[in-house]
Amino acid sequence: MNNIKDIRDKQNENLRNKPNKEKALAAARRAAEEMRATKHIIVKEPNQLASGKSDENGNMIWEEIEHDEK
Amino acid sequence: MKEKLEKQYDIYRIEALRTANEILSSQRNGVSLTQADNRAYSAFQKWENNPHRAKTWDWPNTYMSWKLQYPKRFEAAAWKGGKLVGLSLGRPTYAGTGLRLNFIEKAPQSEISLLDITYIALSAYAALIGADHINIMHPVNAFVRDYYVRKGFSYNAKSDCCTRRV
Repeated sequence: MNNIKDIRDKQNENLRNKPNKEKALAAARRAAEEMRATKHIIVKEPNQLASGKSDENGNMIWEEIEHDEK
Repeated sequence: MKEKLEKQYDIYRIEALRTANEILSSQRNGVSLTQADNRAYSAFQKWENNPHRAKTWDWPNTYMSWKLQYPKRFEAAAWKGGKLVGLSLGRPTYAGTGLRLNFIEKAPQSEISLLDITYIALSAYAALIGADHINIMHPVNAFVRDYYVRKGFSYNAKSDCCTRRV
């Protein structure tokens, strides 16, 4: 895991001054590779995959973002 | 100010989805991503009242509200074979160092891996706006939460979100 972080940090450093398109493509490729790497341990995504907050009536609600949130 | 931000971040949204679609097309799984538009709202009606949904969320109204309020939002509609298979919506954290995925929902009885697909676009968008982590907010149940954790996210009980560095 540490190796993955080191590689990621190194890649991010190398991309720091690159154009946005290169940054986005590198990040997307890495994300695809990371997801592909987990396919062998996960058989299937849950059928009811969902995330988010609702009120008591089922309406979608969201918090205002706090100033100190990182 | 809001209009200027909307234009600026629309370029990022388009670029993030274009990049994700480039990766997805190379995977040859027939999945693609677009922004949430009238076509997505219309397609959503086909599964809006499906009893197998985890939540009965009203996506079109929420999208329209977010489009007016949050110019820096992330939004994506996932498609396979002309069918809408997932929707997602998020925005950067206050300091802009992270990207929150506030809502995501896979279409009922859909056989895709929505997280994998969405994560590619989220990562591209995070890179474009300078965010270094992604938070998926409020997984709807323990199965979904554990799935994110097995996919490499860390669960934070205090804020009820799953986080991953990008």
